[in-house]
Amino acid sequence: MSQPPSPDAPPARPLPWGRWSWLAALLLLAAWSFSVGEGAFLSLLRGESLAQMGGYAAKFWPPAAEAPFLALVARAALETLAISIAGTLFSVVLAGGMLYFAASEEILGSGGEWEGSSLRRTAPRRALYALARTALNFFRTVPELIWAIFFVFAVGLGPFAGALALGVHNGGVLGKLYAETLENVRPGPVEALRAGGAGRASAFLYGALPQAWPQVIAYTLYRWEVNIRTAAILGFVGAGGLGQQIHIAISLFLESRLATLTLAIFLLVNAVDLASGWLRRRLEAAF
Amino acid sequence: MSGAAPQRPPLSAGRLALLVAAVAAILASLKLSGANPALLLSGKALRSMADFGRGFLPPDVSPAFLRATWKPFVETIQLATAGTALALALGFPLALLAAGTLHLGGVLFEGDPEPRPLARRLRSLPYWASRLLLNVMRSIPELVWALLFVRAVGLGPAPGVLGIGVAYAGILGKVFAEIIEGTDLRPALALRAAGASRPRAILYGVLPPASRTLISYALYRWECGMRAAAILGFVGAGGLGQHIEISMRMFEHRQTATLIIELFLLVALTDAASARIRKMLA
Amino acid sequence: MASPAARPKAWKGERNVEPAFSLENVTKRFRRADGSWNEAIAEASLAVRPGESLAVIGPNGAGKTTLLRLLNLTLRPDAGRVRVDGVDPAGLGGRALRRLRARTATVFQQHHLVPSLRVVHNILAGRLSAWPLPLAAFSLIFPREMGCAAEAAAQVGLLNHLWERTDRLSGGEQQRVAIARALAQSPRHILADEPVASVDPSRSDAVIALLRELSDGGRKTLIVNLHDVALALRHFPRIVGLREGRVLFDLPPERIEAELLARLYEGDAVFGGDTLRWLNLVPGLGPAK
Repeated sequence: MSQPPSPDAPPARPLPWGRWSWLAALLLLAAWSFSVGEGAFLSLLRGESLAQMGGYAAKFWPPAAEAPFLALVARAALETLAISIAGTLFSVVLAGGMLYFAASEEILGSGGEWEGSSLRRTAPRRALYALARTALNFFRTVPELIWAIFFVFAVGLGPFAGALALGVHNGGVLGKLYAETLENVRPGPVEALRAGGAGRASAFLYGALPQAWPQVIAYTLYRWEVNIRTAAILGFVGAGGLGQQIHIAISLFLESRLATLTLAIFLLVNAVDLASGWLRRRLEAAF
Repeated sequence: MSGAAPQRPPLSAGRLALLVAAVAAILASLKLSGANPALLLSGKALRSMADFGRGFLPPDVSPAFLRATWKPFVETIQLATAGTALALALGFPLALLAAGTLHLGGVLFEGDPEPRPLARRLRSLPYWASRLLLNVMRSIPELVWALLFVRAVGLGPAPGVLGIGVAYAGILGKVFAEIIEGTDLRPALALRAAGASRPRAILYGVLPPASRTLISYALYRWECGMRAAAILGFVGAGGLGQHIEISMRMFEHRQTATLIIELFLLVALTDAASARIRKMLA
Repeated sequence: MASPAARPKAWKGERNVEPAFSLENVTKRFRRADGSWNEAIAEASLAVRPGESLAVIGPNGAGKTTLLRLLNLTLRPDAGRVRVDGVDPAGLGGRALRRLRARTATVFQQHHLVPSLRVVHNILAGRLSAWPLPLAAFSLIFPREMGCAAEAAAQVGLLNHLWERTDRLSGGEQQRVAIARALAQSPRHILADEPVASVDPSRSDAVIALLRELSDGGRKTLIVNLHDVALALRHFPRIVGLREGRVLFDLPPERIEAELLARLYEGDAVFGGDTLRWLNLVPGLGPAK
């Protein structure tokens, strides 16, 4: 199967074992993984449960719109928004705090050879670096839901547990991203400022951070967009917000309420996406 | 050089307003979410956390238990893979419709007769419709989708697969559309100039150069799917997530620890596998 | 063979004033990729009076940049002593070291400005040695000490560009921002490493004249690395010739002979070969051969 020549595209590298066997393997993999449904998909494809699905779908309309319930939904939505903002804030604080240990010495430290960078100080520094990185890894591997359960144990049911869960989990995510961004920053300006007598923190603030800033803003706002979606479901384990209402609606088989809540999530998520995009454009500009 | 320097930065007033608004929003959020550092650092809280955490070590690595975790481990892989496959099947066609450069009267239409105004407006319909659909699909979290599907297809992994499939289709569709829109159109233009139809030009001119990036992102989604599959297990979709939920409910925290480690390994393996595949293609 | 001025110049009068900079038999080594050691500076000695202006010339790899970094206390000598205003940095605590560094402002060849910052912030960065951290952070959002920034900008002729993003400026303009940053530091001494390397040759004179003017006016010490010999001879009353890490000569321009310059640049990729013929074209040289 030859392709017509394209002027600028690089020539396609031949895959080992041929294109078609790869495709066949992928299809087999997909088919095997669908078998986890234990026949549910097959019956879906055969249209057996379609009537049942239709009946179920009809229960969603019209979505519940009584004033007291709408007020409840609005409050829950605000609570979810608050959880996402607080959670993002906590994660930025955590990631920023860990940054001192998790980013390597070059960017944060060296002003030059007159500072005591003797061997005595390097070994414990490297240990702290490894420890910080491991901690961040741990924070982001444990799923937010599990952190939420953990914090419900610690501070009780409610949105605070949710915000803490988001804070810790995303602290790990952002910590790694921030550290990577900083490591790609040009060290020249920082060294130049230190040569003029600036302290470490000031030199970092004026020399390294502005270079990393657009990427830092992008990552942080992206996590906010992810967080609003996660915050919406943390309520399932008792962390308040829309998730908790959804849990209730499901347990009580109140489909019309579920419809309204789903709509609320849809609107909330879109609002945050829009706000995040606008903020990003606004904040990326030079100081 | 005459002329005094402007004493204030050009955007000063707006900047101040933004700062004040941001601080207000953050403070309101802290209040509304019930943030209370004293509560977190109180003796009771610290003790609860310590007790909780202590129960996790050492993880249960008895052979009997490890054998029992094999099925959920595989189930999670199946869940994530099926979900991602479904997401690709749904999302890719939608992405093609949602990529403006392919439809909305751009360079690819050169040489075609100018369509009537009505036709031109109709032409943008699939674009807006697919964008809206993708938006709906990705604005609703996988968990909610899964719950919506539970009643339709019963409990078990099936609604989880559908949940990931639909939600990820939305995400994949949007990102794929952006990738395609960012692809250089010149190869396709050359094909059009040589007489190919628009669909052919897209198939041979736009998709092949973009394929590396598309596959790369699909692999990343697959990896995210593993984590999502674990979370969906919490609502009964099977896999490691369900067993994590069960073990937590029964306070078998040592088993929970093992399951979390297995999840970690699974994600790491997936990460390595996708990196390998990406290197093969590069 | 001993070079003519290997010992620090003797003071004439003003015996009680400490030299602004003094290097005493300083050696600095760097490790090469293959593990061997390269002596970038070898037993060099130099003494500079406060307020003096001098140019350092020499072929590529002579150690000019290393010399500068030893003077601005970025590098530490492996042997010998460095002193700034008579103070030895060894044994100084963090804050005292910063205060000592703050007396010297350096203008780098690659400017080392932050491109995405506005010019005003890059200039005000020179004040960091004097600012506490909260003030520095606050100034990033609402700039402080605008008077200082405006004055520094005016001195380099960039007053109208104060609020622009630094990366929108031309290379020459950015170099002037770097000079403004050095001025904002209110230093006693200014060091400049090849400040006209990326500047339009027609403007080189102007930039060097500016540096001379700024330092003479404020009675600041000025030490400039230059690869353009003619430029050095034209503007500076004292020329130090560096070759392979050693001070070959330390003389006023009228006492520099073409033969000396030929020895300095012997074998240099750019100036070697037909050096003498080239040198005869250089104005201001001593008795021609």
